[in-house]
Amino acid sequence: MNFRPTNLAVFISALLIITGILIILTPWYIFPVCDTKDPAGASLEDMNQQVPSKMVCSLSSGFMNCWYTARVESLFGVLIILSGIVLLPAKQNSVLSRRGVMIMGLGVSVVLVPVSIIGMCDMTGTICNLGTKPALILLGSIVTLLGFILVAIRYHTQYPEYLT
Amino acid sequence: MITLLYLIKKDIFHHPVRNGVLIFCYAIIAVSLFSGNYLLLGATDSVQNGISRLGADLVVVPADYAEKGEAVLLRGEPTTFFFGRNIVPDVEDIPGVSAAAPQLYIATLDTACCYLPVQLITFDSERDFTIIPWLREHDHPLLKKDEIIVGNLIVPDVGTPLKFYGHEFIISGKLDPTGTGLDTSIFIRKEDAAVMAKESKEKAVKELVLPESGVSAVLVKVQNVSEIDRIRDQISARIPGVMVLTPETLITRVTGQLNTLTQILAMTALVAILVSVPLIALISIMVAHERIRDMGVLRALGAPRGLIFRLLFGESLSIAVIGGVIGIVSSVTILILFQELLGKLLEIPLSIPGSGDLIVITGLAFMVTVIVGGVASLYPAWKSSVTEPYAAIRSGEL
Repeated sequence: MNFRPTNLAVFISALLIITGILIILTPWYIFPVCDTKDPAGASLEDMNQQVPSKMVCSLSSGFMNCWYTARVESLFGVLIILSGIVLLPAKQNSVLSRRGVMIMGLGVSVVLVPVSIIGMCDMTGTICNLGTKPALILLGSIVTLLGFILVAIRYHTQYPEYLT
Repeated sequence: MITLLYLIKKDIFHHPVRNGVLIFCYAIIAVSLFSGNYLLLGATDSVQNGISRLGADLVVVPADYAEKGEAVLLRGEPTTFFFGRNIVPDVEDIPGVSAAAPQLYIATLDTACCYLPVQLITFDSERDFTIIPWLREHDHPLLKKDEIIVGNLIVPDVGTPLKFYGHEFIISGKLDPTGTGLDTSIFIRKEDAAVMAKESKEKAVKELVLPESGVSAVLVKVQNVSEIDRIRDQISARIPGVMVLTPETLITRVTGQLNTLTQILAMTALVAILVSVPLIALISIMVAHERIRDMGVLRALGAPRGLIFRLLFGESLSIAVIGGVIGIVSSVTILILFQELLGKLLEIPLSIPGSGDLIVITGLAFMVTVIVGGVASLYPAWKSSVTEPYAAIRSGEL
């Protein structure tokens, strides 16, 4: 099999679909975030006496940050899977390159949501900080890298002997 | 101009699947070699950083709670234990002891998801040599009432209020990372702990009762470091019911816990090398055979034997280099991103090893990977280079 942009696009779209599925599964099944509104029946008053007050504030406003992050990441996961699917029929380098920019944007968003846009629980040692957040950073970085490769293909076309 | 590098690059891209599999094999070798050493060095460095942050040469804990004491220091596992009596004067009486600082360990209450207990460590401001020197070093004023210092992994920032047992504290400073349990611990003044315990009856769901001794562990500084073993033995002999922890015992404990994992990784690397060398050699022979006519044409065009050898050998080395780099970069990324999770799963303290150690283990993993690539392609490269051009071009013809 020769190294052609179209072959590479098929390979990258397969990777994008797998990565998108992993992004959806990570916060719910692989490193599950908490999904309870009022954990283990502890009253807000009880929590006030024992835990950092900043966290109690997030409790009183509803779900934990990690739960919102998980929902947003699921949406990004679906978008990444769709990007992988629409990449399959693409044959022109310019098209691949434009989609690459969009995929890079999605990858960066996957990283930024748990890091700064929404964030995770305030308390260290929780599974969302230990597992979910690094896993999403890793998966988001992979998506960004795949997008970058698609963009880089355009520059390779200056040397057609590599690609044809 | 067609250069050797151009030819190597062209062939690698010309067979993406076959070369991709080879790159994957080399990456596995690099990952196995790198990860084991990284974990071992990261854990050892972490214990040393933690001990140096504590500023203690020895740590005296109740013999019955030695494991819990190690768990607090190494992993910050919240626990509450204490001596039945104040042993600080007894420790200070041992010849060679220059300072003894008592600490009291209190675990905060456990509730539910996202609300994990943390370890409170109370210290005596007059005797302490862990927090007070750190405050001076960072030009930080001494702690006032209800001010606390937190470990590096405690998420809320300086100035944020934190509530324990119904008593509100303010974060006054954050320690530098050590990779040990100190990163998830919170340091509070002895006086504030007493007030918190007193108020807990009315303000907390569970009353906090502080022991009369007020001591969970005694950190000991010795006058002469070479006398550590003698002083440890004397403390154990003179004070009944105590266990003396030294940096060496903590490091031995951690490396012991890592033994199984590092052995598995070493075995994986060995098996990967043993399987890969003949496999890669076989693939190289097949490649050389497949391209023997190309090589014959190159020879007929005037390419010397050395060029043919360098072409095939260089191609194999390049693939090994790419695999090695991918393996090491992936290992570093995953080990750093999941550092805390790995530390928790393996029950060891873990930090990034020092830059010197990191360079050594990276170099070692990379060199072994490249050597495997080189060794595996030596014979096919030599064989192709000595084949006569005429025979090479005619090979495969009926």
